[in-house]
Amino acid sequence: METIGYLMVGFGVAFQPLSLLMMVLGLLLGLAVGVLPGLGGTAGVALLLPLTMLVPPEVAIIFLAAIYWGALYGGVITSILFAIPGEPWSVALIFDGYPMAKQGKAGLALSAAFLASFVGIFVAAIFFVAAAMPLALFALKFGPPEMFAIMLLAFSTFVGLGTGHPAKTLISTAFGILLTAVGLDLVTGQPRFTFGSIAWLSGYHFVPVTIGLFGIGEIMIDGEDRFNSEIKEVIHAKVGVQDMKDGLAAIWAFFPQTLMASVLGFFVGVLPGTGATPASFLGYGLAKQYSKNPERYGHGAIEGIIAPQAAANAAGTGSLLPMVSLGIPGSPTAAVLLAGLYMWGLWPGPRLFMEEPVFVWGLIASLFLSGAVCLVICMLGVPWLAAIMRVPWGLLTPTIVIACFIGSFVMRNIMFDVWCTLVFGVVGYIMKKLKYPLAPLAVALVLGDMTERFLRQSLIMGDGQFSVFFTRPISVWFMVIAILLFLFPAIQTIKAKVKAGKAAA
Amino acid sequence: MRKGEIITAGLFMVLSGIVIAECFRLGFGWEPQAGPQAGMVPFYLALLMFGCSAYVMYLGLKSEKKEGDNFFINKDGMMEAIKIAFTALIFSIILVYAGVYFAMLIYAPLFVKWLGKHKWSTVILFTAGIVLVIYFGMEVGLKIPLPRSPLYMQGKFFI
Repeated sequence: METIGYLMVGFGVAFQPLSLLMMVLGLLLGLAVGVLPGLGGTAGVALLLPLTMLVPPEVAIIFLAAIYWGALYGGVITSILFAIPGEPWSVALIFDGYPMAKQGKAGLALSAAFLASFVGIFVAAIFFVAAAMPLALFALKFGPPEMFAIMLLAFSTFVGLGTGHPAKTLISTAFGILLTAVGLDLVTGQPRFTFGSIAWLSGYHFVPVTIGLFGIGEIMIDGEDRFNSEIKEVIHAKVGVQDMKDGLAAIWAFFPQTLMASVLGFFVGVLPGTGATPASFLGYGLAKQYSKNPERYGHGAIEGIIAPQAAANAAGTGSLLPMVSLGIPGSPTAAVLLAGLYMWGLWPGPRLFMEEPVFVWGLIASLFLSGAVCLVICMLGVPWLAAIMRVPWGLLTPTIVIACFIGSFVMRNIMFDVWCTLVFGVVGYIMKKLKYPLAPLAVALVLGDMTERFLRQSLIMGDGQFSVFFTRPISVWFMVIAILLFLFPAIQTIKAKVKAGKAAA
Repeated sequence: MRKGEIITAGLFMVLSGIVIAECFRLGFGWEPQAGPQAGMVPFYLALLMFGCSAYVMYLGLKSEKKEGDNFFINKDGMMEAIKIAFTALIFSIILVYAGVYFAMLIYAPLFVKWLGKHKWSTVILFTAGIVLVIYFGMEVGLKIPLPRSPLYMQGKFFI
């Protein structure tokens, strides 16, 4: 019951005029980011992070979260109308969305996807409300060994459940943590890895590095892709009243699947380090597997749009839960939001719930509200949103590049960050080309400092013995799961080899 | 892809080597009464990164060159990516040494004309537009000062 009271406080915050204004602004920006090729949700949020210093934190987080929702919704439009995923989590929508659009049912496909997004966010937000407090209270028992173990768990999910090559995932993670080590050592106060440079003393800041990796790097990939010969037919559409009715009917007809995908998406999202992209594929796979007529999939089955979209948005919501209650981001975008929290002087975890209820519950209430507002904006705004795609590349790209550099600079007002953005743009381009996963790098950039500090504190507690992690009741479980996840790819390889050996014999 | 794979893995190995060398200076052992030394965590991370990059390099060397599996999509695509990085470099240099307005006034026409291949009228309108939006949006609206040129600092020029 206490929760309901807090939620009411949250709605009080979310309904303030400034919050509503910033929410709508965030949603519109997020939709634009979601529709634009070459600028993703992660870069979008990172780019606007410096501007949030101008408003109170509880409004700032609503603004940033709204950008995230907007991007989650916006990716839908390009996937269905142009067969171009605006965001990685909308790839699964192309399978059935684009065929539907070609059959002249673009309006229906869009309205079903938007409604599914809303159901996904709504269901996940209910789970969020139910789980947030207990999880935060559970985290009250955590000391440095538990915190280190849970951060290790976050990194291990990238290796065990991620899509990248395990060795490359480990390189990305180690690279990210090493970058955070540059500057003054937090424990001893010694300068490390600065190589005599004054600028390096203050360390690499998360924002310019992320903007470089996800902004400039993406722009380069996008520019090169223009010379890819596969250009698809562009379909124009708007959502009419009939489409909305049909979309609602479709959601209703496939309600069990939608609900299942949302619940599944939420739990996938809560796992640190996974996020919306795998959830959308899982949602699609699951719906297809349990469908009575799976042969319709890939040829414009409406449930093939609903399930992945509900799962993706539920996962997006879920990924915020460990961020707020434990300080572990569930996705790269959540990592940027977490960096924002630190910037505003807030410390995620149980204390946040006790000391800043307005902030936490304002964010939670805004989940419901942004989901609903975004649904309305999307339903009405499809033709305008699709028009963004027609802004010429030669004008859009320089605008994004200028925004990226200014966004990086204003964070700390030092020129070093300009070079950072440029260099990490090229680094991001190369890493992306060679399929080094960038998500663990982004998460490591935010968690690196703390991971190291908690490890060192734990070792001091344990007098230099690693047994400190295995003799405490909570940390031992996290450690065991983390180690299993790290070993998971190796176990799979051995299993495959044994199988191949048997087949050969 | 094969060549890019091997070179990148090699660069990561060099980076790990630099970190390890620095860790020897910092110390990566256990200091009585103080705990782990400043280089301990980076040292083991760098070892991990070195091992993984060596493995990626080994995989790259073992693999055979495949037709059509190139780092760049094609020659035009490669030139485009390089041009984007090159123009961004020019923008950064001017931004650092002459402030954001000079940077935009040179970068925007360069990009829109050279890469975007737009008409001169579009180039001029776009450049004027972006400069005004940044000025009024950031400096007037949000009151966030942006870097200007050394001439401005001496009071000799308005940007």
